[in-house]
Amino acid sequence: MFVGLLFGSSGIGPIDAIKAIASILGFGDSPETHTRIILLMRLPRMLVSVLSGMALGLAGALSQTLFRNDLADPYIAGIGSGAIFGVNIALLSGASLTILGFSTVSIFAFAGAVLACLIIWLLSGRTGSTGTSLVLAGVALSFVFAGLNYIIVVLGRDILQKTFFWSYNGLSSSSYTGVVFLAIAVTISIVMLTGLPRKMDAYLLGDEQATYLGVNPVKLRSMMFVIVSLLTGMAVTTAGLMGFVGLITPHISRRIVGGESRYVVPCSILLGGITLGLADVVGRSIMPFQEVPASVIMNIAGGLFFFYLVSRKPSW
Amino acid sequence: MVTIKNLKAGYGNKIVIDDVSFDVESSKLVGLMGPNGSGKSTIIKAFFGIAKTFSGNISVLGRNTNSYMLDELSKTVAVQRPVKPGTIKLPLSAYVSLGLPVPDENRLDNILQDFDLVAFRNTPISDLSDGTLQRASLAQTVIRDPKVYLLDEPTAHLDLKYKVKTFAEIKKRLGPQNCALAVVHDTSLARAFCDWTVFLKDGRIFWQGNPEDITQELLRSLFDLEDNQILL
Repeated sequence: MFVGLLFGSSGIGPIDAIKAIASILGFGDSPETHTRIILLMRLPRMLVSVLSGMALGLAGALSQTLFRNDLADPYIAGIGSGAIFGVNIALLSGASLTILGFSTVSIFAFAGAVLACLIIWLLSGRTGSTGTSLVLAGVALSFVFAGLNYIIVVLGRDILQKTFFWSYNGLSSSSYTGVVFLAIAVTISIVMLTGLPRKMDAYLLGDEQATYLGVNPVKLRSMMFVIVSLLTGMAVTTAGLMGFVGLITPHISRRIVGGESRYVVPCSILLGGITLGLADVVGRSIMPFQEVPASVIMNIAGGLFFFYLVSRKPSW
Repeated sequence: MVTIKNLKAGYGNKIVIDDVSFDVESSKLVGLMGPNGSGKSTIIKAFFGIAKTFSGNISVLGRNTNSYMLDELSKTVAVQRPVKPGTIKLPLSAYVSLGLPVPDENRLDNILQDFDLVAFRNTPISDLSDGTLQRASLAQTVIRDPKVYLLDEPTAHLDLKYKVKTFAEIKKRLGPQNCALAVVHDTSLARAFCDWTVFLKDGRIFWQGNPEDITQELLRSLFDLEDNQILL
């Protein structure tokens, strides 16, 4: 995490950054612009990237349990395209208000994400369907949102560019408000999860088996839906779209600690934070005076690493 | 201990079990037999509401099953039904421990020994052979030390040695406070281990009685077989 403070695209090198941090802590002197960049830009940004990585790692582990599918990620319930839909609506309406330090775009993104999750949750409650059909419903919903998004983009000029920028460069507008809300979301989720890992293991065996083991699958599913939508919604709102973290961290965790939820969940949180934090640092320092979005780094480096993992051993 | 009274049960609007009544007394092992699709599993599923009860009732220890909280019922009644492990990477030890509210290493070790599972302790359940997975699911049922055992084909996928061993392990655990209802297909196993047998056909009771009294004729008419087809 500390490394994140030392590197960046603003032209302050690691040595200047260390001097600035020292002066913040009361040792020595450093130009005010340097301390300001560290305190107001790099620190919140680093915290947001790490916290949203933790949120997505956790949401990923929960999604793969909730849908009983190894290919599930936090965006599977249409959350990603739902969030973009929210952003598009906000941009189309042109409304600009700020609530609790969040812009209209952020609020609508959160609402879009939660809306998508709510639709899939209602569907699972109505039909009692789980597993594959639920995943398919999520994919179907994504397509519906994608279609609507296309229409909006055609209707309003400039929206495409703005949405594109928002999706990929969420981290560059990090603020302490984002840090606080993410920290709250992650903390609440972890508290809600206490005592759940054993139930999650039973749930993985199917609704019927879970019932025999004394676990009410409908209740547990609702709980996981709430946590996933809260975490992913918050991560989307504060950091933009970050694909792949949620998909690969539970997989890598299972490789490291085995398949028990009580180990997979904390390991995914930890790995998610590290991975996204690192991706952002790399993205900021790889080209001078220019940023490569963390999600782009994640997609390329994460994708290749995942590919390597899958190809190394025939049986996953 | 278990009383099934005028049970009518099924799925959606479909009636699978029609007016079935029988008892499972304490310390007894009752064999539930009959052709595929006759409703054996549906009776087991009806205990936890997986199959819907339309009328009649099931009572356990003198109380209607639907008056139990799920948590309470799952501690009293243990169900063993086929598991589809798919890609689940849960290690066998964790899978078996799901039978316990809190992990208990001592008990786990004993049960794993009873079912010859020690060597597979850390193997993910997705990688187990059918027979080993079957023994693991029995171990998960037995570790719970329930009052009532409901076993749906406990010897599926097992070789002769483990078939016999499985029933012996279950019988060993049936004290005055326990009873078991098991779906059995093998008549010789039923004769060797069951205290009573209930035959279902098309969702109704076809015959019930002492397993010693199962005749060739009974089996022929139950399974719609010709006179010249040989049976055990």
